[in-house]
Amino acid sequence: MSWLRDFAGMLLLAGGLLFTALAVFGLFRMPDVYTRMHAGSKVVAIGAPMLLLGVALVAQPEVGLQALAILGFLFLTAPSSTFASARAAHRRREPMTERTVIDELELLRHRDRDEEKEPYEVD
Amino acid sequence: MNPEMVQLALEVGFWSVLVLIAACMVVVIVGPGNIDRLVATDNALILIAVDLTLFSAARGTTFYMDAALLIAILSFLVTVVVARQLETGRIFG
Repeated sequence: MSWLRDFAGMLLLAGGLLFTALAVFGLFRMPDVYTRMHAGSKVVAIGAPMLLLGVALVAQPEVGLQALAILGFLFLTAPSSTFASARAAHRRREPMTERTVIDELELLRHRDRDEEKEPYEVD
Repeated sequence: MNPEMVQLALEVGFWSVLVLIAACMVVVIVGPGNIDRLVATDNALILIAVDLTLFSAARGTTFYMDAALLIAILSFLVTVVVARQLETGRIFG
């Protein structure tokens, strides 16, 4: 069944390359910061895991195990780093595109301010 | 699948991801705002870690895997610290 493993690994490598290329293309193409962040996070969410799983399937076991370790660490840390950069963008009042329909976080902030709470307590 | 085809796939993956890293570095240099530069830096560091993994598998050595793991860890630290600096204007305190 070695040919099946190699075939699955090469398929995963091709899919990961496709998704990563589309995500990097989205960094150039999208209109504002938030949509660019949405496109760019596909690198961490889909592209890099597919590439690392493909390497883990086709490579020798030492490289494959460490690729799986990198994959687990990416799944642990990528959501919090994306959250930190998205929160920084919203607090810096980065402009949204004209086609934005609703900004629910801003609405929530105004509602909290009406109730005499401090919504954005730093630290 | 013969091993030459797998070797060719790993080499093609290595050079393609290298091109994508160059595209991310273009965004880091000319990006419209600082948050764009931050996101592009994060993506470029993760792609560098993946690229070192591909290079290591293509060359058949484990020499570069420790550097890949370290870069994956450092990309998280860089993103969180720079996001805090851009958000509040300070890092400590």
